[in-house]
This record gives sequence, C-alpha cells and structure tokens, in this order.
Amino acid sequence: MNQVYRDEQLLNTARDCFNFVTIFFEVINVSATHIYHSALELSPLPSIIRKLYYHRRPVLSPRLVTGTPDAWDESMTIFSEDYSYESHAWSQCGQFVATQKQDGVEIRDPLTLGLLFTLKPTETSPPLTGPLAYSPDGHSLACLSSAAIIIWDIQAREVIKEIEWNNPRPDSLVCSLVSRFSPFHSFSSKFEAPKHSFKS
Amino acid sequence: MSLLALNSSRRAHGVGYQHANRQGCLRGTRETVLEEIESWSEDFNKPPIFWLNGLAGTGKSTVAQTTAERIFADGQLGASFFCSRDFEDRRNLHFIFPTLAFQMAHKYPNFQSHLVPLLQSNPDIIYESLCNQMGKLIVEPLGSVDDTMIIVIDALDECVDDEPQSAILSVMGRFVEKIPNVKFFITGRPEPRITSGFRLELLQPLTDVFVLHNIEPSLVDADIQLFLKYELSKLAHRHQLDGWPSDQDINILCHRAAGLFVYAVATVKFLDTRGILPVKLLETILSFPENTSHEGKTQVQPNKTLDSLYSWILHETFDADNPIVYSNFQSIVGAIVMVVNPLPPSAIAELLDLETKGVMLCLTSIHSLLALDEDPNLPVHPFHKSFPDFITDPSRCLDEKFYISPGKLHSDLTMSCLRVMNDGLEQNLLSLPNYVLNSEVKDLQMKIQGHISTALQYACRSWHNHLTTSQGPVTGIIPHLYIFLEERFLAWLEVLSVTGAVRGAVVALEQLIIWLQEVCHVLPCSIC
Repeated sequence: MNQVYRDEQLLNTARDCFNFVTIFFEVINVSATHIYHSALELSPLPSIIRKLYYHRRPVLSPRLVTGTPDAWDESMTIFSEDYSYESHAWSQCGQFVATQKQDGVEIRDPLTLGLLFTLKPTETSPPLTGPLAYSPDGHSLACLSSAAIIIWDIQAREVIKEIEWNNPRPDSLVCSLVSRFSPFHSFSSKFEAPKHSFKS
Repeated sequence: MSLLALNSSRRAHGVGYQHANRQGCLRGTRETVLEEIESWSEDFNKPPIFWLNGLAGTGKSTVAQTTAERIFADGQLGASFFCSRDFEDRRNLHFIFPTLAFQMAHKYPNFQSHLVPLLQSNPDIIYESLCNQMGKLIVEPLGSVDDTMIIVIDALDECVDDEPQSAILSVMGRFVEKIPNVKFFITGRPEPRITSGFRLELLQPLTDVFVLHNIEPSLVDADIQLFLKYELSKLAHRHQLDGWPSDQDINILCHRAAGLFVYAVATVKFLDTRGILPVKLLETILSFPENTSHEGKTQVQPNKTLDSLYSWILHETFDADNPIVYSNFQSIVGAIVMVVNPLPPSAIAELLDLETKGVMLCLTSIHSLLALDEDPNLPVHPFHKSFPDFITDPSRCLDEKFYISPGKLHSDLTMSCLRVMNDGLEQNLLSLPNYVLNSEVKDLQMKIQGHISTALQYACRSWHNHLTTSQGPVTGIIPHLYIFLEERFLAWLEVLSVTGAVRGAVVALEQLIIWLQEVCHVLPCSIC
C-alpha cells in the first residue's frame, strides 16, 4: 500500500466522521447511547463510518429500520470561522447562504462556501448589526443596522431602500409572503406595522 | 425558571475578583496609583474608562484586585472579569460580556428581568459577535438600571484576539457613551493591539491612562522593600531566625528586582522551599552575580531582570548533568506551560506516561515558579505569565536544556493525547442502559468522575488544539490517528456527549481535515 493511498484513506475517513457529527449533532448531543441506536443506524449505507462501526452496535431485539439514506445530506454548511460571523440566512431555494459581516453581506455557495459576491451598504448607511432575512421570492435581502433596515436588490447588488424605525431596537426581522420586511420585538411579541413593500 | 435560564447560560467560571487566591496590595504600598484610581472611580464626570497600563511583572493584577475589593466594599462593583491565558474560557473574548451580564443580573433585579427573556429566546448568544453581545447583554438591560457602577476587566492582553486593534475595545468605543452610569477599569500590557485600541478615535477622549512602569523608581523601590520586609519577616518567624534578613540583604534584593514586583514575589517563594533553611538559600541568591540595572525613569526591563532570575533558579535546581532529568523537565514543565487548561500533576503524569511521584518531585523542586498545591490532584499552573514567556523564547532562555520548543511540545502532546484516548476509550465506558438520554442518567457526573480520568477528559477535548500547533515530523502522529478514527471514534463521541462537549467535535474534525490536507501530501513514505 503506498503512502498516497493511505493519506487519502485517512482524509476520507476524517471527512466521513465530520459528516457523521454534523448531521447527527443533536442526537449525539443529548444521548451517548443513541450514537449507536440512532446515528449509526441511520448513517448512509455506503458511508465509511458505517463500514467501520456498524458491526459493533449493541445487540438488541429485532427491529425494522427504514429510510436509511444512500448518501450524506449535503444541505448543511459549517462555517469554520468559529466566532467571526455576525449572522446568517439561507435563501428560500437553498442555493445561497448570506453571511453578515461588519462591512457588508457576503453571498456564498453553501456547498463550497465560496464567496460569490458582497452586498455593500451605502456610505451613509448605519453600521450593520444583523440579523438577515431573504424575501420569499429570493430577489431581495434585508439586514438590520444600528438605525434602519437596509434592503438590497440581490440581482442588481445595490441598496434599494433604507427604513428607519422608532426605538427600541428590534431584535429580529420578518418578511411577509408579499415581500414586506418588518422589524420584530421578541420581548413584547409585537410586530410593527410594515413600513415598506416592493414588487419583486 | 428565570434563574435556571440565567444560571445555565454559558459563561466563564472563576473569573470574579473573589475567586482564586489573588492577594491584594500590601497595606502601605502602591499608594500613588491607588489614590489616582480612587479619585477616578469616585467622580463620574471623569472619563468612563481607566486603563492601567503596565509591563509584565509590574503588579497590574494586584492593583486590580485591590481596586475591585475596594469598589465592592463601596457597593459600586458591577462585575469583574480577570482574564487568564492559562484557562480556555478566561482567555476567550466571547465569554467576557456574557459573564459580566451574568454577574450584573445577580446584583440588579431590573437588569435580570431584561436579560432572562433574552437568554431564554437566544441561548446561543455567546456565539454572536462581540458587538451584538455588548448591545444585547450589557447596554439594553442597563437601560433599566439607575445605579452607578464600575466594571473591572483585568489582563485584557491575555485574551486571544486576532484583530489588529483590540476587538473588545473597538466595541466598547461604540457603546460606552450610551451607558453613562457605568465606568470600566481595565488593565493590560501595552501591546500594540491594546495600545492602538485605546487610541481609537472614539475611545481616546473617553480614557484615563496610568502607566505603572513610569512611576518614580524610588517610590516603587520603597514599596518592594516594604513587601520584602513583610514577607521575609514572616518566613523568619516560622524558622525562628532572629535578625534575618539584614537591611543590606533587603536592599540588594530590592535593587535586583529593578522595579518588578514579580521578581520579589518569586524570590520570596524560592526562599520558602521546604526542607532548606532560607538563610542558606538567600546566601546563594546573593552570591549570584548581579545582572540588572535601573536605567532612567522607565527603568523596568522585565525580560532582562526576570530572565536572570528564572535562569538562576533553574540552574540551581537542576545542577546534575543528566539528560533524562532535562528531558523530563521539558516534558513536564512543557505540559504545564502548553496545556489548554491547567491540569493536576496526576493527570500530567498519566498524559506523559510517568509516575505521579516523579512529576511531583520535579514540580516541587521549582515550586517558586508555579502555583502548586501539595495535593497532586489539584491543578498546577505557572505563578506568573512571564515564566512561560521566558522558557518558550529561544532568545531569552539561552540554555537549550531548559528551552521548550512550543511546536515540538505540541507535537509530543498530540501523540500523548492520542495514546491516552486509544488506550482508554471503550464503547459504553459508563455502562449506560440502552436508549437512555444523558439527562435521564441520575448519577452521570459521578459515573464520569469514576470512569473517565481527568487526563482522558482532557485528551478528548484538547487533542486537536495541540495537533494544529504542532511542528516537526508527523509520521509519529499518523498511525495514532488511524487507530483513533477507525477504532475509537464513536467512543470519543460518547465521552464528548456525556461531558457536554460535542460542539468541540465539529471544530476538532474540521481542524483535522485541514491539517491532513496541508500536511499529509508532503509525508515521506517511511510509515508505509
């Protein structure tokens, strides 16, 4: 066996282990025994982890297991910069993930995490604070700043509207099915009346 | 329910002024700086931030401790956070605001009533940006508190910070004027990112600065002399020594300290070595050639002064020319200096595959450089950060017998962690019943303590930290990694699951993949 093959094998095993942990994170987090009963049982049939460990699972009474996948679910993205992100939002189509940084909103490919482009605020925009929200049609994206909601047209990559709000500062952002963005105060559970709507 | 959300919120532990065994200033010393701080703290028309700027070993933390104690006695201490690079949570900037908020919530009921709903709706706020943290956890709840208060943050330079200008100071600059009833007392070395942080346009006019190493040398010398007299008279009393030490001895020691309190503290600790008369030890110290001098007003030269002391202590302690002694020294002291969180000697012994007795023997011989307990099951760490600075810098620690190469040490510790995991991990180590949730196991903590040793817990949580900072040949690590991934991986996840550290598994595997991609393609074929 040559070195290149062995290194590739170790790397592939590590990637499979990574998939196993990220896909079954919640299960592993709440129960050590369900690592075998649920996570290992439901890991994809061709996965390395299943081949290495399936024969070691505890012997239990006969069970019927259905729905074992053929491959790892790819619709999950892990950001490596552990603390550097501000906030994220997925596009409704699942094709893009938006990441808010201090100086703009980065639109990324969720599979490769490659940067596609950055939506910049205007020079007079207040500092971005997040969170972010996509419009349901995916044409617009809004981000809270310290004093206003900033809304971009994604295709044109430019700010199309800034909406100021009255105090106190909202802590989340919602978008209605007709693409009206509105700030939301979770403490008071009270919506402010939509102040802006636009056609997609 | 509200207190449950608060108390279960993620925060750093043991960071308050009342934790650890920190001593305040000896009465009658540091009067100039303490008066200046008192004057600042009592006048809320003065700038809201006070930066106590001082070089290593000048006594910043001791002044911070005294300040926190006094402010607490006055009823004005809002919260305190003593950073420490020895501890994973105490060097993490993202723990500062959640921890301060936790302390303030316990002191101010209105603050608590604002904070708790936020924590209930957003338990992951610790992972948000510092800006969000300060806005949501500190500034917003403070809107409902009328009391004036002072927040103490000690040793900000000990936190890990990748920003060119201190990230936390940048955030403070944006918010501090919105909370006029709060003042911040901050200490830190004058490192570039701290200095430039305080020079930010927003922060500079809001900050009072006191430079500890610029105090008149004669005043500092008088304080150090007082400290030495007090501590050595206690030692003399214990050993029934009359007239020891002489005033001349004190003067020489004070002169050698050259303005550094840490020098005086280390000397006192060294003289207090069990089984050896302090008279003998002092004679040896005084016979050692002097290597320090005052130079002008900023006479403090921490490196020169402390390097001389540390080199001398190490040479005095390890005078045998035995390579095994030095190899063990590098492994044991290297582990203490490089571990992610302080470990007890018993765990260090297990990690290094040594006897606990041998490790304790080595550590006891250099006790003056460590915070070491007689109980081998209590954590040990360097008593001052200047010691790790010295021993890991080849330009300062000139004797290669004592120099600890961080890259090599991390490589050794990676293999130690992998060995401990590969030897100690087993499927269902805790003998848990099938299908049970961790929360349903009543005696889970007892089971963990009984079945998972401290060293094994440490290895499971920290092996990747050492891997990513290791240097040198990797051929020794690869075979351990194969065994770990192919045979022990699920047992490792079990340990992380029951100890509440699964998030660490994601980070560890991600770093492993990056490491393998970078390192493995250049491997020689020696392990085929």
